Formats: sequence, C-alpha cells, structure tokens
Amino acid sequence: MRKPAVFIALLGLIVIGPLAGPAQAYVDPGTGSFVFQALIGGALAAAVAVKVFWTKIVGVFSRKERSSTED
Amino acid sequence: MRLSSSFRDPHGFMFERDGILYRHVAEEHREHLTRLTESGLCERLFADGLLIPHVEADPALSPGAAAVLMPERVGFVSYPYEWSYSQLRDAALATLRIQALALEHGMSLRDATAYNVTFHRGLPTFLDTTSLEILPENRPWVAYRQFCQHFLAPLALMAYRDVRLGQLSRIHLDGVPLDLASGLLPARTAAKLGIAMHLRMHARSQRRHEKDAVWPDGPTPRGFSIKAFHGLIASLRRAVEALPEPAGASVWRAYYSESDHYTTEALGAKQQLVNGWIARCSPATVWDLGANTGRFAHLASQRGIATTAFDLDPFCVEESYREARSAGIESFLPLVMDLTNPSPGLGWANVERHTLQARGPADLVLALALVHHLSIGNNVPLPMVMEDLARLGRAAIVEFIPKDDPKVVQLLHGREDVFGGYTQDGFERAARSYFDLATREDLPGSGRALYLLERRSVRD
Repeated sequence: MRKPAVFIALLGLIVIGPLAGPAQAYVDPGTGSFVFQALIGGALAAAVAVKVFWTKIVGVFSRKERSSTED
Repeated sequence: MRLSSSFRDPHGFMFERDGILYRHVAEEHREHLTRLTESGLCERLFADGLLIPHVEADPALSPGAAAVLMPERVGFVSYPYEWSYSQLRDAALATLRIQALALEHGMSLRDATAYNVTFHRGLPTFLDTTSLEILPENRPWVAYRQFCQHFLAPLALMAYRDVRLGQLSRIHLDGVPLDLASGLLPARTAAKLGIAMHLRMHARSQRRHEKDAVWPDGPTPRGFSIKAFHGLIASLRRAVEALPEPAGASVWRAYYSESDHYTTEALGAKQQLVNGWIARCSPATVWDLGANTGRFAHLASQRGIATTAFDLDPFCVEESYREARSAGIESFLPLVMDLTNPSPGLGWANVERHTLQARGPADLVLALALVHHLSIGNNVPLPMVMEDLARLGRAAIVEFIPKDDPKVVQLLHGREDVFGGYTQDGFERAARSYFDLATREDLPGSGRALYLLERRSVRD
C-alpha cells in the first residue's frame, strides 16, 4: 500500500499546480507554505483515496476469507 | 490583569483576577466557541485529555467579552526548549490528533505553536481553546508552517543530528526556520519522504515565495479539499512517527547504579531522611534540582505532590518521562534545565516566556548531590548557591559533600584547588545567610551531610 501512495504523491507534485487561497489568519501562514500545500494537496488527497480504496478491497477479501472459513 | 504572554490573538486573551486565571473570548470568536461546544468536539477533547478543561464563568468579569472561560490551572507551565525528545514528540502528536478530530467536527486549529501545549497531569495538553475555529472552506492549513517549524524541524534535528539541537527552540521562538533545519540535516534524510516533503521542499517553496503576497491576484483558486487536509495531517503524523530515537550517550544515567560513592546504608538513610522531611514540610510543590532520573523526586510525586524534576541531561529527562508516562504518574514532570544557565525571560519585552525563577518559588526544593557541581564544577561561590536556592524555594533539603569524597576528588582532578571556602563550616555559614538550619543529619558510611533549611523570609 505504501508504494502506490508514494508514487501517486510524487506524480501529484509534478502535475498539480499552485492553488493558493485567501488567508485571513492572525498568524502569518507564509506564502510559500500556503502555495506548497496547494501543490501537494492533490497528491495527499489521492493518497487518502488510495488508502480508502485499498482498505475496502482488503475488507472485501478478508470478509470472503472469513465467510469461507466459517463455511 | 492580562497575562504578559497573551496579546497576539484578537479572538481572546488570558487574564488573572483574585488569583484565578480566566480566558476572555472576544465577540469575533463567539460563533467558533459555539461550534466547539455544539459539535461535540470540546467534550471529545476533554474526554481524551487533549484540551485543558474549562467551565464557563460570568462574562461580566471581562468587559466586552462574548464569554469568559475558567480553565483548570496548570501547576508548572513548561516550554518546548525544556522538553526531552519524547515530550516534544508527544506534544506534536497531540497537536495533530486535535487537528484530525477538529476536521471530523468541521473545525480546525488556527495556529500550531508548541507554546499552545504544556504538560498537565503528566500528559501534553492543549491550552489555547480559542485556537479552534470553524473550518474555512477550501483553504490550506494556516498553521502548517508553524507546525513544521515548532515540531517537525526540531524533532528531525534531534533525531537525525544531535539531541542537543532541541535548544534551537530557545533562540527561535517562532520555531526553527526550515531553511536552517534543511541545511543542518544529514544528506541521507533527503530519502525520507516526510522530511523531504515537509521540511526540504517546504523550505524551498518558502524561499521561492518569500516576497509574494499570500493572496496572489489572478484566477479563482481551485481550493484545498477536505481529503487533502486529512492527507496532510496523516502525512505529518507519519513523518513524526517515522523519526528514529536520537542517538547518544548519557554520562549521568548510570549515576546511582555505579554506587561507588554511596554505601547501601548511606543511600537508604538518605532516602529515609528525604522522605521524612518531605512529609514534615507537607509542600504543595516540590522542585528537584539536578534530579537525574528522578529517584528522589518520586518520594514527593508518590505522595501526590506536584513535582518538577530538573536535570541538564536530556537522556535522564527522556528516561524519567517515559517511565512516568508508562506508569501513569500524573504528579511528576521532568524537564531539561541547566541550573548554571536556567531558562531566561524570552520573547516580547522578555516577559512572554518566563524565567525559571518567575515560575516559582516552590514550597520545597531538593538539592541532593548538587552543590559540589555548582561550587566546584562551575566555580559558583557557596553564598551565591545558597542565595539561588532561597530564590527558588521556601524550604530546601540540601546535601553537602566534603572535599575528600570520591566525587569531589574526581571534580578536582587535574585542577588547581581554588576552593578554600568549600568546607562544611563555610557551607553552614552561607546557608545561615538565607535560611534557618532546621535539622542536620550525617549520612552513615560517608562524610556527607543532609540539611533541612527553611527560608528566613517565610518565618519572619
């Protein structure tokens, strides 16, 4: 699971552009920090999606395995 | 009176009245506080021991307040540069846990400085209730820079370079600059995804956009999804959890196990005397100065007395923190502190972060096997040592170790003996300038003596 997540994260870093948003923060969020999050955001979201998808797949198989053992 | 450290956030501040601490919640924060309560997040954070518990007080206590909260009082507010590696790591993970729970409840942290966390009842506890705001839509985490600078950067430096680099937090109060951290980290850390992304690439982005406005003119941004937010927090957590234990050796950890300077009889007698004198003083707070791994400090903590154990060795503090945390001891807080250069007043006007002395005095200080290190090891004359003890505690249990003791002989080895005043008479004379000598007991099988001292001004 780690390997595909890392691959997608790196791919996202390359293809997703800066997506800065307005910052009404009382501390300085730092422009570079904001832009960087926007840059990696797509990859991080993809990593979460892959993890959820993977957990579901594993869940399906483990359920099948369990039910076949019970049978 | 408003606290000197509470002035940056327009949403609220801390003030003290009649010895009780309160939090003023400004009108701007009303809807955020309501959401915190109504979403169930506040209750959840209280239940998990992550947020300092509070009750609502009369808003009339502070003019213009939307609400006034009365948080539970923290015995000793400690700072990140006084924490061991695991203490800083646990504080980082607590901050991320709060942020993850906040996201589940439609809220987020507006800042993530390490000063929002302190140790309370043995656990890292978030203090700044008004840091929690309603989650702004499609916006990256405003506190990301702070989290990386306050937590991830010093932790990575301690883990991969040298544990003593934790002291960088004392110079850089808004966290270790990421370009500095990236430059100091070993090249091999470039292969670690979390470090490469959140420190190195992040630092490069900061440098590249140094002069840019936060909200650049241009087309409407596509935003930052909630999935991305969850992914960011999970990625930061993995980066922290993947850090290795700091390497290094402690010269002090084996202090009691060596035992070449104590007979079993002397050590037993010392323990019994200290225990009895703690009971006799019945203090509410005890500071053990030069506590090593806290062997004697626990004589106080096991009575439920709020005990702070200071030592200059980060490995000793690390060990005692881990032991106390796994044993669930709430009344014990070990901290890194060099008594020859204790925590100074820092930040704006030198009053944002308090000196060690300003956080005292303790009802009782323990100075066991310490005075010879200060007087002979560091050339501090005995009267100055006693003056300092009188500043830090209302009473003191002090051990005097004579010059012919193996530990003092070791300290004097290869040095000119310029310590003519370092005698038992000299010690007692110095002590009498600030204290009444309540009791003196000689430790059997050694030339050492133990004193119970009561500060003059307390009785006069």
